[in-house]
Amino acid sequence: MSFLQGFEIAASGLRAQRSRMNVISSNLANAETTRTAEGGPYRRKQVILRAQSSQGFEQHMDTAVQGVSVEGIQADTTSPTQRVYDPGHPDSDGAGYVELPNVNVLEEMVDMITASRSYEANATAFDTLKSMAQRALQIGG
Amino acid sequence: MNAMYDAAYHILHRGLDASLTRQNAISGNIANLDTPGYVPRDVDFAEALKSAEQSQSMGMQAPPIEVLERADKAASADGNAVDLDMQMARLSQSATLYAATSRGMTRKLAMLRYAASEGGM
Repeated sequence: MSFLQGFEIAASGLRAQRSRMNVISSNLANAETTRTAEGGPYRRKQVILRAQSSQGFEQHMDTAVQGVSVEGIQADTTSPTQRVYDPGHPDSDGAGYVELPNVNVLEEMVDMITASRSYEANATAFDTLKSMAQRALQIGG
Repeated sequence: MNAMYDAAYHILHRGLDASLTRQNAISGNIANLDTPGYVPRDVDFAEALKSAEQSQSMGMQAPPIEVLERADKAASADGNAVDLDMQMARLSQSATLYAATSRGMTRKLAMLRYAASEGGM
């Protein structure tokens, strides 16, 4: 068990929250996007997180200390897209409806605050560990 | 055990080790704040000291420090059982304990140095 491992774990948390933040930004930026490479409106994306044991860790694997890794970014294809009546829109269908992304701006804002708070918590864990490491360097001094 | 590195030295050493392991476990819990199905881990500090003391009195090496699963609360809808407030409290608790133990270690080593230099420092 070393300090480096703790730093790595805290950093993995920072990385995970940052990629969550990036995905939320992408969702907000594309809240009104009607054209994508796959065709149809933009679909809300989500980050999939997984607990992961850090490499070279020698203790019992089942209960060992774990960091976090970003498993992937997946599109939410289950929640329905919004249909808005706007006959003048170039992408409206025959009945005058436009299909807009399944992004709920309010939900994204709440997620954004959660991600930001989690990021802060990880930064504090890193800081505390750093002051412990400095304290250890003072032993014998 | 020898005369220079006595029981107090070994207990201080174990205390530093256990606090650091606990700190790493807490870092892991905070990193997994949003991971579905994650159960937080913790180290029983008193148990870690006790096991070291026992094995030391029998002249054996201390067993590795155990990291155990310990849920903070009933798991939420996604199966995650980490409570951030609890983890932050433990984070500063174990950091304070580490600071105190490292000060103890500094004093212990200062005594050895004092003896080694025949009281001259």
